[in-house]
Amino acid sequence: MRGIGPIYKREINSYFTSPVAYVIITAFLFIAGFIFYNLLSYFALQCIQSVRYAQLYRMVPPPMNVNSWVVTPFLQNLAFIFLIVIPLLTMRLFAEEKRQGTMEMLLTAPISSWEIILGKFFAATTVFLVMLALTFIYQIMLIIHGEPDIPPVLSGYLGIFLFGLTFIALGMFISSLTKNQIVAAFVSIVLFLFLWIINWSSIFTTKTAVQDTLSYLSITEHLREFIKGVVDTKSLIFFLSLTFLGLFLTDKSLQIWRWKG
Amino acid sequence: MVEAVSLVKRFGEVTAVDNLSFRVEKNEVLGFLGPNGAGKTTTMRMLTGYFTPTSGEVYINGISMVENPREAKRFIGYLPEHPTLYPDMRVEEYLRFVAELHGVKRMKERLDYVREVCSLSPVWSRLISQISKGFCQRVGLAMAIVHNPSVIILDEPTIGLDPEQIIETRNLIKTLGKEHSVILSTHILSEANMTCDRVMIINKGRLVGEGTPERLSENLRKKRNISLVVGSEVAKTLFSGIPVEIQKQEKLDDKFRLELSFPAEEDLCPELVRRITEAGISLYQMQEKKPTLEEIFLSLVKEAL
Repeated sequence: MRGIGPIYKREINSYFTSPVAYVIITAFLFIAGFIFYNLLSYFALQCIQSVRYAQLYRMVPPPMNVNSWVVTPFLQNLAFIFLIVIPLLTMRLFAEEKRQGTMEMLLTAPISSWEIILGKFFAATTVFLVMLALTFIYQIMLIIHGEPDIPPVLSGYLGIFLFGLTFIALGMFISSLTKNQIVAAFVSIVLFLFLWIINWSSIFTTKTAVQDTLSYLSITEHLREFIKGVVDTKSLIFFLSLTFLGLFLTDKSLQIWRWKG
Repeated sequence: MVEAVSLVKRFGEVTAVDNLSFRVEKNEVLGFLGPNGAGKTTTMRMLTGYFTPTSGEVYINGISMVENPREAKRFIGYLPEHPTLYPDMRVEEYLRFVAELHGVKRMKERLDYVREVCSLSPVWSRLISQISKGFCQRVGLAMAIVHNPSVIILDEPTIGLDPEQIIETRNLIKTLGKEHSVILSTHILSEANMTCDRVMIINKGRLVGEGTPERLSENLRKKRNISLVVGSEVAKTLFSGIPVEIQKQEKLDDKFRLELSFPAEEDLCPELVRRITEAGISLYQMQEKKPTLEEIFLSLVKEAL
């Protein structure tokens, strides 16, 4: 496992010495911040209005829950942004090596393909974690100025983290299939979108087996559990096994590359 | 020590390498010679573990590349055909990265060594995207030797270099060949002649000739060509009775140049000299024209067709 370190270090350097990571992180924070600002403002507006109505009708104001008004929709939107951002992180991982021809150097070095794969996977995960961690500042602001229910916030973040791992592994696999970064990014986005909406067609069938399968395959349903505050082992296994599948397929893809050239 | 046993590589219908077997000993420089598309690069890629052979085996210092690639690759230094490097890395950073992948222990010492040997000082901390092709080639060479491997595999090592760098690189290869096994590929015949102890001529994935550059030319000399400078014109009848042909006769200022050929089986040189001097013709020069590797190469490649 000696090879993971150098590969990881090189990938991180490559993200941060080029504008790639900065552009992606900045754009991401801009959108995430915009969404958070609007959700919070809307929530504040609703609070003021509900107090006014209560005064008008001489009632006790209804309880307003910051979790359901801000945290839950924010995390759901965050996941959707990552659906588009993660392919931008993973598209270059192998496609660029193939295009540049540096793959030849990596595959003739005395390290296993798993070391290459894990080094790259951890590097993309690090950039993803930086982004995710920066949005946690918003939650800290909520905790300081409001009274959100903290466990669902944490489990929601855990859910998004697992969701990110899954997409990084799958995105990396797709990147290993092509020399073209744009193709890798586009195919990844299409696949992720499909996984996002896969259970929509479950309403057209009455067979419960099909419905169950589709909803089990649906990323959104598993994520929703986490955001609600439920850490279900079924969902945990779902994300982790998809992640492993992505890594495993990447390894197979590299082996095929050795055969076909 | 490198050993290849009946290597075959097919890409779909196309057979790129067809049943190649060879051995390279320690302290030997082996040259792969062949036209473009002969299978040199594919062979090297199988030796370095980049391609999995369709069938056959590669042993590096006795370790199977197919069964134990991680161990076997430790002994190999490889300069790929186009030394494609990371454009966003600095030269030093890149070589350090390669050395780390190889688990080099005395990092500073090795980096200083390749910096010196490959004359990389002028570009040492420059970005790879900003250095010239010649320097890229030398960074590639540095990458192949930074971990002091016992087997060095160089795919067209002098391509893209200027004449001075070519000479430096050839000298470096010769020096390396004293302590390592070196395999290099080239389609420049004079290069093989100068740097290699042994040459394998490959065409269409098959071995068509093998031996030291000298031996190869010996074997192919079915005819010997002699060039003479004599004092006066020579008549054909002078050589009657012996199988000598006059290829060309031309007048120099006050002398004549004569080109003769005869079959290689019998050495007719003394007889030639005797007849010329007995005829009262003065002999100024006598020289044997050896076929160049180019001629051998072409005739071998044509035979294989």
